[in-house]
Amino acid sequence: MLVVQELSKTFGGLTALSGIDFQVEQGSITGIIGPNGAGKTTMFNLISGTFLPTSGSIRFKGRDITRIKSDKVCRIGISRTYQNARPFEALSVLQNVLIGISYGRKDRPNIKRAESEAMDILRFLDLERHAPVLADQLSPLNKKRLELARALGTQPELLLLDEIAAGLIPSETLEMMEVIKQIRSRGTTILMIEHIMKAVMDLSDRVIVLNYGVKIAEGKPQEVSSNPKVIEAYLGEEVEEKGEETP
Amino acid sequence: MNRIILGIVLLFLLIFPVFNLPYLNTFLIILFMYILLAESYDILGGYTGYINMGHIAFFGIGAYTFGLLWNTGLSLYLSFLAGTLAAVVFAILISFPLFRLQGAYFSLAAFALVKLMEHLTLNLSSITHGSDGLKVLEGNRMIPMYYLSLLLVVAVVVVSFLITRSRFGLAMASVREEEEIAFDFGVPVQRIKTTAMVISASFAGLMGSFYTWYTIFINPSMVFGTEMALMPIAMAMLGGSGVIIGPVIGAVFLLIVEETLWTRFAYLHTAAYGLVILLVGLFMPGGLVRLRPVRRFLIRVGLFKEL
Repeated sequence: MLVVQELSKTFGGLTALSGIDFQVEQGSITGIIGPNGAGKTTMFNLISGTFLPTSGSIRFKGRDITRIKSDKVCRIGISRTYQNARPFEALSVLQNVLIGISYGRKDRPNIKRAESEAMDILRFLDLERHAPVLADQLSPLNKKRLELARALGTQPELLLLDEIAAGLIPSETLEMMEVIKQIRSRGTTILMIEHIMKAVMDLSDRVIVLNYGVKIAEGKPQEVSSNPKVIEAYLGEEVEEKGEETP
Repeated sequence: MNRIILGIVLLFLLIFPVFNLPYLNTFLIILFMYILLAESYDILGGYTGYINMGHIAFFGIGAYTFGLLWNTGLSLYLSFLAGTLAAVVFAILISFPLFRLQGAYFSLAAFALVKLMEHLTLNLSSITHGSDGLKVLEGNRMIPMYYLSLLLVVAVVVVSFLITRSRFGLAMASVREEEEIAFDFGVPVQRIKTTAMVISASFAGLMGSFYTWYTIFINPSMVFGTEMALMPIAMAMLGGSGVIIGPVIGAVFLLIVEETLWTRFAYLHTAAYGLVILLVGLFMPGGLVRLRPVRRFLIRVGLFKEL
């Protein structure tokens, strides 16, 4: 569904991503993990069209979307959430979702239909009673849900989740994982960045590991978690090993 | 409740000229003009968050275009139309460079345009007669002007109301909140901003045309002066930006203050706009209508419509 080839991005002299290749299968959940600064969010910004890549290509359902900007990418069927929840704070929860529905997709439903759809989404995410509340009044968990709701409003075929579980307490994380599973079962493909290992390992069909802008591993969650390169990236090299290697 | 209140106010204003009070009539015309400028400023400033310090340029361009064309013998209505169109075309032209800027940079660049227009009208004296000003055909137009400006005020309030209920209004608010994210969700940000500016400019341009027609004489500082430029912003901010009734209340309040001040302490009123912007920014960033008791009252009577 999504094919990323040789994707690179440099900011001035800094290489954020270099030569990344991967694919996302339709209907799957793919996790992206990696230490801070590995280039995960940059990857999302490239796919969603917020940044233009320095080189490489991104194809979505056979269509080249490498240089398409984010407003169009959204209408083509890719939507996202943000690492730090960024709802439209002075607008109500309902209005937040309405924007996604009204502008983020090809069909432009009238305001009445948009509203009933928005309420369906809010019901699904258990935000219904918060519909008239201003977004900045929400709890962190509900802000995350709102981010999801706004993205779902655009009826995405591919949903990019940037650390949707970050900052949540364990019970909330479990709840969020349940929601993500349900979204997938409704037919939405998911690409997610996640730091919480349990969430990635339980949910993902495949996991991609980035470190310093390079893909260092890819595969099923179990394979990846036992990959020495991955362990090294997360925990650092073992000291005595290092001693042995350097003559 | 809100309908009753608005109906009574409107009815009163409609029959007001019958009482034949020229002083108050003139006062109301000026008030309508200020309300219109503040409210039309707020279509861009309040809903998209772009503080357009150059709003008065649309007014001045409308005023001069009307005067110059009417003097050439063009019909009155076509001249009004031309004044409006000139402001709209100007808005479209400046929207491309200006909307590449944000925040204070946008405001300052827009303000510079007012000063540019002021100097242009001062120095292109072969066309505009410079500081001697522009005269048009004389006539007593108090009563027709009263109704025209009242009509325009009603129109701008109705348009603002329709905007708050539309998809377009929603998009404007998303631009105000988080422009980049709005774009990520498919909102055509540039088009929304330009459209908002065009609507805002068309009202100001038409008002400018009416103004020239009514006062018979304009000069650069009357329509492009700094005081004029700051006035709509001060009124909208004082009343409450982004709430339909905010700029209306701000304009009424400030004009009454000015009228009282100016008869007692000459020149003090000229400092009023700057002072208001300063004090409101410091102590009352939401404006009068967002003060708790005022807000509660307005919500109760159903006049607190914001985006």
